Amino acid sequence: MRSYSVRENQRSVLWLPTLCAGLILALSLICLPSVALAQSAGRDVLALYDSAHEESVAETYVHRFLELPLNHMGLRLTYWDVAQGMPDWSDFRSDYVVSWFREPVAQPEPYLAWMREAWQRGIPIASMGLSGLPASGGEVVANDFYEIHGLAQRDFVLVTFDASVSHFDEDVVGFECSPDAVLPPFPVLAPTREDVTSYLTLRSGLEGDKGESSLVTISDAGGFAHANYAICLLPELNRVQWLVDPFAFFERAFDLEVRPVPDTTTLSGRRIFFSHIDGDGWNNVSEIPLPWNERPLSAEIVNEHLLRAYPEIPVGVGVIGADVDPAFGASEDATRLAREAFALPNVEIAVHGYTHPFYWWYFQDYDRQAELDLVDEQIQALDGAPIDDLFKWFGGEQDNTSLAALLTYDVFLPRAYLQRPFTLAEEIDGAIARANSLAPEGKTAQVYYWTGDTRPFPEAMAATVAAGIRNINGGDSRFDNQFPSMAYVSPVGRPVGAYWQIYSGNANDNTYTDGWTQNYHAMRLVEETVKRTGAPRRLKPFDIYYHSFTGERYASLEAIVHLYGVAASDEFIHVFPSRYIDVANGFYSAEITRTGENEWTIGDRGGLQTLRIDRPGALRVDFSSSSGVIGQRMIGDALFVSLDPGNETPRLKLTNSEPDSLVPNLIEASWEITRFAVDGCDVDITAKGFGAGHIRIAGIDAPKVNVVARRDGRILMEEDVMTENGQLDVRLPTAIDQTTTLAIRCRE
Amino acid sequence: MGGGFFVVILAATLGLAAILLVPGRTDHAWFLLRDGNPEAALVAAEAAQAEAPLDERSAWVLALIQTHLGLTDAAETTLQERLETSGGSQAAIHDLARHHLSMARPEQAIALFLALPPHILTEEEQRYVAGWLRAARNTETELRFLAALWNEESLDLAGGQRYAALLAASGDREASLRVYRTLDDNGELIDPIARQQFQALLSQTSSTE
Repeated sequence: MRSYSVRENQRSVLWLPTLCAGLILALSLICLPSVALAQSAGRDVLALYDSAHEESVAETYVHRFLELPLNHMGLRLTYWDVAQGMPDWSDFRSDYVVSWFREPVAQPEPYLAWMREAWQRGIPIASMGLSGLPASGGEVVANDFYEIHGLAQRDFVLVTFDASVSHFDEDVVGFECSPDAVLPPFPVLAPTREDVTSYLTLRSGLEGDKGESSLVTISDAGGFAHANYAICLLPELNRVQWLVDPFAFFERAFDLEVRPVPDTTTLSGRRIFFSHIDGDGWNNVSEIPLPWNERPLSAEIVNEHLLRAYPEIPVGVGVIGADVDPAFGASEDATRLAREAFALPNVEIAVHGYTHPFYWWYFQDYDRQAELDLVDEQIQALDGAPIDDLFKWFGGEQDNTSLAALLTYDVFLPRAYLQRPFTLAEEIDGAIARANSLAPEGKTAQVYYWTGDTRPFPEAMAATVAAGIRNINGGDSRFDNQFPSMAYVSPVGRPVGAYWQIYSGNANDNTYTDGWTQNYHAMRLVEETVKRTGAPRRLKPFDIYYHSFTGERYASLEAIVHLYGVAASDEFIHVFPSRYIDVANGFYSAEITRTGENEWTIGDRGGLQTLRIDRPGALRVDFSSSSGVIGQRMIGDALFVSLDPGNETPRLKLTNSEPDSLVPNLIEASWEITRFAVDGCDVDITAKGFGAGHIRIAGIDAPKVNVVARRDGRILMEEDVMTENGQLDVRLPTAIDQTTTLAIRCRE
Repeated sequence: MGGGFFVVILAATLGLAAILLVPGRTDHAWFLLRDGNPEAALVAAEAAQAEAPLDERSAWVLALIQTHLGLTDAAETTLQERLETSGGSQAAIHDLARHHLSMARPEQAIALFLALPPHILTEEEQRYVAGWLRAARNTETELRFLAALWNEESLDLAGGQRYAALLAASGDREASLRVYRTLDDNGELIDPIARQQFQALLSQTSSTE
């Protein structure tokens, strides 16, 4: 078995130079106890990738497959491209190292030397995929890498008809699939150290010490899962599934103990729900008539059938600047509909670009003339095309310069509106200004919804930050029968330059309808993803993310209404998209420090208000010894801990002892709790949100309480309520982004 | 024959043409949908279906309109009833399977697809069935499905190699060798791993012989 204490000591030593740099040995000895007491909870993972084979972070297997489970375990990733050489140890912070190479790296020697040093420093290493070294023929070969994981390669089995699975530990392997009847090729890897535990062993069919191969292992060095045995390939479906359980694998590889992790899914004890609309299709004519308008625009249908019809559902509406700009041909209706939507109390103003870039990379080194030439060449190539002749034959004249025509032809268009040269100033600041010009007094645009491929370059990202606006989109999470794996659930976000692009909670209607070409009802399938990302692990919030063109068709509109029904469940708390984004950004900034046995402090968490402790056993919050902690709720086998928004550095203490005295604490609330002040048995609460009010509180040491609820100067409720087992359950009338206060006073 | 006869013939012909050209209720529903009036189309299609409950086409048009309106549960009921009233016609099975496919219900879709001769399925549907059988690790059914496609010469290159490898892995090495040989004869054994597998089987067979 592996030795935790050895590694822990090594890790402490790693941080000593930082903490005690320049001090004499005697002073560093003084430092040691404080290091042991106050220690970073270890959230930082250095992710190695090779841009020679995975062009950008977004394409890496680490980002696509590993980052979600790592995020869920509270870990945040910093990426390093080994094609640029190996990082200097003083340049980064890393508690763990992870890689998923698909080919040997270009410079194997420095890579191997660096990995060996990481191993010697006691930094746990998780290696999925290939070793990153050539199988043979080089100065260093794969076997040199396997040594780190306590393995030695004896042979390679390409034809596997005589091979079979000899050991399969379901604690770590068989997460979503079992090995295929036709086993993929594999190296024969034999453990060379006693600390190596194999979770998947194949009988190779070869003689002697080549008889068995350990393909998924955990050792003192970390974890190893061979490329062909980490995931199962389903080539006919163009899908993958997890063979390894990434949670169990990393928990063991990184030796992760019971600890609080920043949680992006939950607020006030409930799963976060939000909804946002990209403005695409704003001006499309809908097939759904209105009593006062036979041929309304899609935006009008969305306004009437969704935004106005469901005021308790908060929605972010992101308009495309040019869609509502008369200079680009926008009608009065288009601007009127934006004004009307923005004026609704359940609508948060957002922007979805000005000219709507489809491919952000195209604008990183933008050349206006090249853009014009590109489009001109394609239009000229269309003249005389069979479809063009067909149009003429039927007496029509296809306008090849119109966006609709160009999209029909499937030409490459860098963006939707080409009339003016692209500038970041117009695309970001101009779009914000345009949206703000349509906003009622007191409201401004809060979020930038990335357009097109949703891959902004660093300068674009920086421009949104400079404009003081949040950002979201990309990720396109799905986990259903069409994407039957957690591998298709995105992480919290993507690093872009110095900032984070926050991914949407769910995929949007464009994805479900194959680019708005068929199955217009298919957005209903979001429900399946919501279920699978809600249990057994709460991986994601629920985001009804669609486009204005959803208002074009009955089936798509019906799908959203169906999802609204799902969102009405008591499982969710309804918030604006900006609120979720603040939570997500808090995930990256939060610093968690272990200050003692089952005791931590949390700083720099921004808008994040929930910590989660997985499988806490009998551990629960010790409210008397904690500060800035207002509630707890067990959901499945995870303890969700609500923090006090008014406390910047809460201290969390867990205990498995029964409390000496009861302390009132929040179980759940359908509105976000902004104040939860406890005075003995009494509680004062301030909450703000959408929908029907529901607040549950535990730890009340009285059989009866008097509850007075007020909103907008009016008393909503004033009555004595019985508690049950120390719990109070209060239901209040629907709120639409309104603040409600409750005064709860214990009675004898 | 006098001129009156021709008049009668002409009148009869025009009458018949008029009857043929006047759209039936189902066609009328279809035209309403095409012309962007799906709610009226639904009313017309429901009337057509009520008038001719055994007419497969009217049921199909009704299901199409129901799907268009997002009434997916109703569409499923219509397609299910059509399957029953048709006594299990291939078209009815196929359309219900496709409905399940669009609703992301692979188990139901595959159960129906497997009830059809494999060559009726589109290539995409064949891959879908094969893929889901592989995902479910249902080797026996996957082998049966691939064998049917192989026998109908409807299996693509990747499918052929998968079939050969699966036969070998499940112990039927002679059949596997026959498939590999056919692929090799057709110049379709390009994948280096498949070629290695073929060579290994060849050498095993020769050593056994």
